[in-house]
Amino acid sequence: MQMGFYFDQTRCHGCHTCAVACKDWHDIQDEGVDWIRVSTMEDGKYPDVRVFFLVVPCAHCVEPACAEVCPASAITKRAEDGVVVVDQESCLGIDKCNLCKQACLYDAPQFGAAPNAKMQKCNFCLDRLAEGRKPACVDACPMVALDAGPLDELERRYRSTREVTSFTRSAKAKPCLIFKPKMS
Amino acid sequence: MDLAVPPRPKTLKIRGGQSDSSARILSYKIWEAIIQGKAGGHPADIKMMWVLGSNPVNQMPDTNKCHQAFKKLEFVLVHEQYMSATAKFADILLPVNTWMEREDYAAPWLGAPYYAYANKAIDPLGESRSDLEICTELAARLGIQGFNDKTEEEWLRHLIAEMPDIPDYDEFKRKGIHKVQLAEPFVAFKAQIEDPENNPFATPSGKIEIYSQTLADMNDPKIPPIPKYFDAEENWNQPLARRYPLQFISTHFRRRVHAQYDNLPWLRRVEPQALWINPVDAQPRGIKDGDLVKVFNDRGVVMTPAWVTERIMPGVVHLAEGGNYHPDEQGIDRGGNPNVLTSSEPSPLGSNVDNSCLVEVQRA
Repeated sequence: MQMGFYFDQTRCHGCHTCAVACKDWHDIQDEGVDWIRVSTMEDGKYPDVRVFFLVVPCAHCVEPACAEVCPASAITKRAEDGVVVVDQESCLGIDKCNLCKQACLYDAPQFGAAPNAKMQKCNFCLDRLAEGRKPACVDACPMVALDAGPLDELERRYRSTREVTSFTRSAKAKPCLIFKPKMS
Repeated sequence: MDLAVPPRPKTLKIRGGQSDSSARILSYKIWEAIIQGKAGGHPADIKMMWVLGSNPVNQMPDTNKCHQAFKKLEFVLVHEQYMSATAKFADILLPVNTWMEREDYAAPWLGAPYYAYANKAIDPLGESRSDLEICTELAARLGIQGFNDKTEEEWLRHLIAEMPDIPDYDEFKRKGIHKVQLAEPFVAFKAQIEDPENNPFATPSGKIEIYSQTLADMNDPKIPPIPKYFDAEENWNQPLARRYPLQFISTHFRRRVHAQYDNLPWLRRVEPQALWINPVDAQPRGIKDGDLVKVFNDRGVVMTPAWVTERIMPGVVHLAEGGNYHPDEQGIDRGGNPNVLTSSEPSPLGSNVDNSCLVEVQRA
């Protein structure tokens, strides 16, 4: 099975509740560490302006580039659900290696400010998943713009695309994110 | 005591208060009243200020005038949890607890048919007390008799017992919410609609007044009897705009409640406090997205990053309200507080109209 995320760009209004809920659930104290990132794009000129938001957690790629380049084999893809996880004990740390950070197209590997900080990233809220709950970002979204679950189920449920403004799908890595884009 | 104003009417009650003066000051004139006192025609020479449940240094217009006023006061008492802009002026700072550390109930705005009970989440931290406990103990020490003889829980039980909508205090507290079952759907002004003759509105005509004779009788061109557009007191088409050509506005911000929560790193990261400026205005000033800029007028200077965006009209700049006031040694605010720039001049009828003023912006 392969888990994935669905993002409805037509519903998102850029409130960042997903990002704050993520930090709260995982108790991330490091400033500058974002397991889920919200970006804002503008299109047009005043007064004909359109605004787009893009929410990107770890894409839990089918062929994760981060895992491929990790010299310590600290990054692995779980067989049972396709979730990409990092073993911080094995991670060499940012002072010695930043190959995963360079390899990922979606900025998923994150490092705190501490000396030789170990890689951390979205783990699909595995603790919640074990209890049959959705990730914290999904449950927190007040606009119901996010969903998560088995990727094939998401694709069946939502009329979606695999690319959206500012998100280019890597044919090699096969990110497990699907979108409902806002039309320009 | 020379009151210089009429005695307090019976309708203006202050529990435990002994002054019989009816003296009042329009809140927007409070800084002037403190600075000028009776000599400036204000009803009193104000010596002390006691601030609770509020952060006026941050949230009232014209911060620098406020700064002057606070320096003139002989004594300032503040209840706070944080070293807010106002708390920094306190001679005595009393630790007040938060709404998460005390019990309360809330009725929704505009009379929606439910009530919420706010059970406390934790016991008060440290030596903090509620506003009521602080005031009760101070009243005893200041010799004010009969100020308060009830605990907070006794007050809540007393107030809720008097409300016919809520049948049982303990049940309400346990459930946290009480929904009022209405016999029929609520219709605003139902009595006036069904029988206007016998149910007049409390106006001179007994009707909802779009044209107000009361206002017409004031005979002031700035107080029209019908709703009418007026330019802002400081407007782009005035001579002042030659020096300060940008119309400055300030709106609420999604990551704060007014000045509250500005100090939370997670929320600061969501969106930095920044001046919205259109590329049409940014480019001739050499301002690029993210540049530190100086926003200023005769009242003050704010240094804040610029956000160059098409989402703001050319000629207009925007800085969200509630940015926490952090003046440097030169008195330049580094916290992005719009009130450093806003005017405390009220509208002709005394409303707050500080949302719009004129400024200039330069790259810092």
